[in-house]
Amino acid sequence: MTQQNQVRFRSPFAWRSCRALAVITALFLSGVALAEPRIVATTTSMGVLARVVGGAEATVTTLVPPDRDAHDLTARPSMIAALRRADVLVAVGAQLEEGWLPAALDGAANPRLRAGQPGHFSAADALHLRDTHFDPSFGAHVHEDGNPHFNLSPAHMAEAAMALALRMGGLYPDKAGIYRARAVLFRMQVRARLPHWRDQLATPLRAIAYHEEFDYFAEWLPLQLVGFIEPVPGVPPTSRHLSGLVERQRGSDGVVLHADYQPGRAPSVLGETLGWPVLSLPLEPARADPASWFELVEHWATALATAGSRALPPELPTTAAPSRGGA
Amino acid sequence: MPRLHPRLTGPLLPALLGLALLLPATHTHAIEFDVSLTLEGIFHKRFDGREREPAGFGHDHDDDHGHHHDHDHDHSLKNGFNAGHSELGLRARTDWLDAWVMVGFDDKHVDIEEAYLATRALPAGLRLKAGKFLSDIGYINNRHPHDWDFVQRPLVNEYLIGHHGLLDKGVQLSITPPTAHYTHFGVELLRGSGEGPDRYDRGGYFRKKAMPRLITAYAKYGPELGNNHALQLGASVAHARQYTRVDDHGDHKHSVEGDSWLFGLDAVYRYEAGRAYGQGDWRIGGEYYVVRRDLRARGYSRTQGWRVNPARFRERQDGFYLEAVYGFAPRWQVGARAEAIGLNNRIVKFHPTTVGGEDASWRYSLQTTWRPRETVFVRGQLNHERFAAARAHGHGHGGDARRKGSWSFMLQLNALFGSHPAHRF
Repeated sequence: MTQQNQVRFRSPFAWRSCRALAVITALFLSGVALAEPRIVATTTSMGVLARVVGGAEATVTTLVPPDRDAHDLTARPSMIAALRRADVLVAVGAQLEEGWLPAALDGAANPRLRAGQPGHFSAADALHLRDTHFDPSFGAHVHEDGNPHFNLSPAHMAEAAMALALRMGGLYPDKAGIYRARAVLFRMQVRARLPHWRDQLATPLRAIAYHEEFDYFAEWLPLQLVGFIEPVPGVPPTSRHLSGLVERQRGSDGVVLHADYQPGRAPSVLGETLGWPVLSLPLEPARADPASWFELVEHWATALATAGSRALPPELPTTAAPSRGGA
Repeated sequence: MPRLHPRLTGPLLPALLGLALLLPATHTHAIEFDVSLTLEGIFHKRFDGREREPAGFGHDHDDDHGHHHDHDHDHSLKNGFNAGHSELGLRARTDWLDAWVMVGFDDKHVDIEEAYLATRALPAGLRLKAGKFLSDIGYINNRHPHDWDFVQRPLVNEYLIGHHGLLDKGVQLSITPPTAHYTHFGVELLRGSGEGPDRYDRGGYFRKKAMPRLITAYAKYGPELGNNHALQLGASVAHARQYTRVDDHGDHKHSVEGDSWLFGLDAVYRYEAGRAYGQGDWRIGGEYYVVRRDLRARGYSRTQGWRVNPARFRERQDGFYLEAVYGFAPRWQVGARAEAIGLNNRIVKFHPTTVGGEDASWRYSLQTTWRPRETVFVRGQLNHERFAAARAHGHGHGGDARRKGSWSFMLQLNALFGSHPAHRF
């Protein structure tokens, strides 16, 4: 996380002008200040969207700490208290928060935020999600509605901001214009920086990821996912599955990716056996604000570029290597 | 056509009515239907000592002849394989209403355990629930066995409140005010089904009162403690307007009749370590309940009828449990529970002439649980019971077996299929 803050990036002209335009537009349009919406966002990424659209004057509360897996939470009393008082809920959707959000919403008894109400914004509903790689099967965390981790794709984040602006504009018609302007600016900023992020990775990179969220990297980076450490989403890797991955990838090069909240042992064993660098990445911005999110995306691109340059051809297989998986 | 038992048809009717009511509301949003099936099996082996009921709480009420409380299936585990408690849950949800039907079954019985409607759209944080439901008093009472961290229901819930917890027909009104820290209040008017604090045995002096015979109220509070810690504190009270216990001996019988109050406190603390698959997480919880009954004891003989001047007694019984569960490895938990009932155990003795004390009964449990999937678990549990035997009272059994402990082992397999409900606190 500390490394993320050290990343600095020389602003190209487009980026700087976007920021200036944002400030001017915001000043121009924010003449009428009514009661500002209280927005509750599930993840920090959704908090970024809430801040992008709601602006500095909105109250934004996030429920999932940035270093946690949004699959795996319990509906805490404090979440219920936050949802009870909120005007708008910004959720990822596609069943990502299915394990705790419905319980928290039931506890909050806030009719504005019921699923299906305008106050309940589920970003996945407005997006075209990437398909999940796994067949929905018994007991596992497989998302029939598609892969919900679109926050790993800047383009999807920009589209989600547009959809949120539309929704909030419907709820607060007086501010529909400024909401839309802010979302458009955000999309411009993202589009302006995409080529820069992509170009950091000089050569296409192959990767084994812990969970299928990293599939979204393939959308905007020259990255190809060749395997997953979890045999089925939500199920810890078995030694048999890991040795199968090793067998298939032996002799090729690539990187091993996992989120900072996912266990690091299996990835490091895999990386060591294959001779691939292992990257532990934060998947959520440290704070629910756009600057923090841009820093995060910059960090992803830089970290992958650095790892890609280190992804050397693996050493010759040794007899000890396959037995590691059985340990 | 097989005839349905009245136990089934009773709550079935309101449930069907409810579903019928839901149908017209489907113009804009489709009804959301969820089905889930929970299957359970338990292997149980008592390898030392014998099964007994805790003194002062037995359903035979400290005598081995005469009255047997009318409960048609017992929940004790037999040596060997047991069917456990399986459930079929149906939920229908529209914009305005939630409808739940929970059918509980084992190898011999099928019960509609819950069948209720709850509003979703009332203003001001209000929620109204009607039907047959588990009361929201305390912490564990409204949880189904699939959610428990130990094989058995805590003693205090089973013996002071009911074999299914406080499960009754009635209405509930609850409110979640818009406070910075979580607060929640509720009131329930319940029929008083005749078990636990609202026990009603036939054959007493007074006729059964009209419902609601049982009224409960509860409050919950959860302060904001950041991302890693969470706490919920609760307090509950229940008042049964009528409590009747009858010992029938054929030519004569004894009754104690009056009303009862139940007071409870509960606390749950969670620590979320933020590591994968629950590793490093803690859950520590406990509940304490005390029941107070103001009773009048009467005698009845076939020749003389009811004795006119009743003697007054005040009974007091209590119990608690304290449990802790820790995720010691990914998808593995270990837990310990200590519980007691009858720390205060003042009850009217057989031949109701005095209030006497019984000893407390204790149970200690140690469990480890493995969850190969989120919805499947295998649990091994070791129990040590030190159940007090009733004090000698001239009816054949007495103090000789007092305080002899008993050891038992359980292996539980529980699997949930279908949409799994969200994890409540």
